[in-house]
Amino acid sequence: MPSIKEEMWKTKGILFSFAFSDLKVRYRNSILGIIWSIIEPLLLLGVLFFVFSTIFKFEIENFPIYLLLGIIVWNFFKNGTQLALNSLTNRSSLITQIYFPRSIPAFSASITSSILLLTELIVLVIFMIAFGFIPSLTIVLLIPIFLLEFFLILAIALPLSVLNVKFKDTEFIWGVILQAGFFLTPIFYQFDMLPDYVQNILQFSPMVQIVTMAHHVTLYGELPPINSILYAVFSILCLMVMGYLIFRKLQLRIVEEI
Amino acid sequence: MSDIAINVKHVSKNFQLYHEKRTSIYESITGYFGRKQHYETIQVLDDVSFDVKNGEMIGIIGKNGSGKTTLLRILSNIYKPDSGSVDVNGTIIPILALGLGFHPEFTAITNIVQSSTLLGISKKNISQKIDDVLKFAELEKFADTKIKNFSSGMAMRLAFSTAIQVDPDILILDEVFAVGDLNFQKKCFDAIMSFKKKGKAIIFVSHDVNPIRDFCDRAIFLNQGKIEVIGKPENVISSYLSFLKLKVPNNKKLGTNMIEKEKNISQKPLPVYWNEITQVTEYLNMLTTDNMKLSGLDDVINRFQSKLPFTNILLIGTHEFKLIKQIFDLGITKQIDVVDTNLENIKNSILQKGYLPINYFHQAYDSISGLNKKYDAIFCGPIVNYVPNLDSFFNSINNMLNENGLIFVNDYVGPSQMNFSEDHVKILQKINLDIPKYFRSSLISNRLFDSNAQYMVFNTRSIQEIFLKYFDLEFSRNLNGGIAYPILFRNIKKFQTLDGVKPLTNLLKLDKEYSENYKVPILFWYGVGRLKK
Repeated sequence: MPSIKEEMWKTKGILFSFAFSDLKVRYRNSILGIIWSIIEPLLLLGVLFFVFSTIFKFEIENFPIYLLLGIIVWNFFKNGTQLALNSLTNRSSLITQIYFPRSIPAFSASITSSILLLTELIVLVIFMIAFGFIPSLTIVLLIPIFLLEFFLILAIALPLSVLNVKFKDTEFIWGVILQAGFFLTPIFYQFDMLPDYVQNILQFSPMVQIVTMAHHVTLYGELPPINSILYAVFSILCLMVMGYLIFRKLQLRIVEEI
Repeated sequence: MSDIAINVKHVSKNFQLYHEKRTSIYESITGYFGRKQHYETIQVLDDVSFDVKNGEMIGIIGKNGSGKTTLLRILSNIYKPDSGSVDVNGTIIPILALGLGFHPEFTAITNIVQSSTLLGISKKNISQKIDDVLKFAELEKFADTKIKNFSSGMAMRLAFSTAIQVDPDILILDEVFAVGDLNFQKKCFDAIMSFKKKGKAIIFVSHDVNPIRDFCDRAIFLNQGKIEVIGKPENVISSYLSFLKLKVPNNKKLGTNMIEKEKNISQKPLPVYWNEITQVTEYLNMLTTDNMKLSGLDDVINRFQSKLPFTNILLIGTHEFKLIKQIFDLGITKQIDVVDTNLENIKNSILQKGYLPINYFHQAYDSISGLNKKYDAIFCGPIVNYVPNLDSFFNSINNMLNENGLIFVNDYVGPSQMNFSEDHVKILQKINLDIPKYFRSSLISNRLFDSNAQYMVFNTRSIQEIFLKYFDLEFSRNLNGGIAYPILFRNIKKFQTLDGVKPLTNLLKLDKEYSENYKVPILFWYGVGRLKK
């Protein structure tokens, strides 16, 4: 039996081919193509900015950049998990025709979302220039933060892809979770605006910690709080172990269920 | 390197067949606590052991549901066996269906690259092979065309060419390579045989005994998950055939009749193409059953029978070489003349004909002349869409037809000739929605639908128009109970449905309704008729 690592290496061609076709299919027949991945967060930004700065009168420093960064970090997570959700079911005909590791579709979904992330980051740079915002050096820490988020996506994408084959409900449940997650993550507000007891619960959410860290290193020029790092790493590790176990158990009979 | 390519030891596989598949969590929970068992276990493979040597081609034959595909999937590591083991020496590539990973929105080249990647070819090798693939598929001009704009024939050719250029040690083929025209099929077989010559092992599954007899070194007859017979192809095939004949429900008189006739006429024993004969007789049997009370059908049968054997038959077009074989195997004639415009086609069928007494004529279709014979029956292969001048075509064949002779028009109107107007497409989409689901899906597997657009396609110069224009409609209607049937001998089986409804009846009804309501043809036509006077 080849180890998982070896198998992944051997099938890296398939991995990137999936990621590539995911991207192409996503924007097929659209005139603007991948530019949509830039427009989409911008539109959301516009709406949120209007609502929270004009109607609710939030006073957050550099609010547009604060918002945009949150949206980008959140979109990375949302795209990755959503793509992974149907990554196996969409390939049902493929799976019954040829063998490839069942983890590949989930991996490729994570990679696709990383590519989308890169295009969105371009917008962030443009925004910073437009607002004359000069970030401090700590912004390079965004790289490990996104890497951490990548692992989080992977930890969720793997079990989601197989669960959705077994239970079609997964798709809907995950839709609700994503919706809730968007509001429970400090994207358009600051975490400390929340009441204490809510903070105590939400601090276990890895996305809360990742968004907080991203804000810290980009906007405030600070190192991320040590608590955030610990909470995030710990919860992501737990999720990875759990996700892998679910995946390993369910993947065995996946072809017959699909 | 050892001599054995694949060693299969005591492989068994069970499937859980859910009576009501539980796919939502709620159902799963209630089902878990409910005492009733919702599924039964079906043993698909039962202690299967065999091995395949390098350079050997082994054929697997068996009825639907005998476990052939499951076995192939286990060999290809797609399913895991419940018990037993499979040892594989070398790289293995399964071709279980054509167009692996093809996406309609991508161009031919992109699809070749994607599909090859999935088959495990490295990036470097792929770029070298793209030209070969396109050349083999004869699609060099369409390299940058999206697959969704391909005809189904073109897509098939591309799919096969992509699959065939991989260079594995072991090749697994599910009945996939009967694609394209005669020329292309020959190319495919040549390619497969060259694999064998290179000392690679080939495992090959088929319902059709002919290729197994012609190409395989050994064969396996799989029945209900067990190996019934393994050994020389002739032995395996004969036991498979005898097994099937027992199983054929009340072999009606017409069927046996024809097989006997075939025996009487031929001097030397001819190989019996079981598959084709039974399907032809099945077709005729179906027409005679009580459930089918369409007017005039008995007449067709009587006429057909009373005319047998035909003294002279003219076949126009070599496209359907199988049809020639069928006609001989049925024993309905001793002599066949064949006309084709393409010299290459004639050469090819001469190469393949072997024992058949056929006269070939190389002529243009619209002015067939100089044959100086009268024919009892004229079979038009799928060529009417290629005839430049139909008037002179029908004129010339009319002159060659005996009094009371019949013309059979067998044409396929489909995606290989894409030439439709917007309105037509709309009508077809509408029809597609009307058709009951089970028909739809069986039609899809029959490649009657454009796979991505999901609508039926048809030619502007339809067979129906041809019938309306040239044929004695009164006569045809009496014979057929309609203008023409959407029937092609070899495809009858595929029209069958699961729920026991007489599928042909329904299809005929549909055909009639749609033909009348929408004035469009249904896709396969097998019409019997007489020309207008």
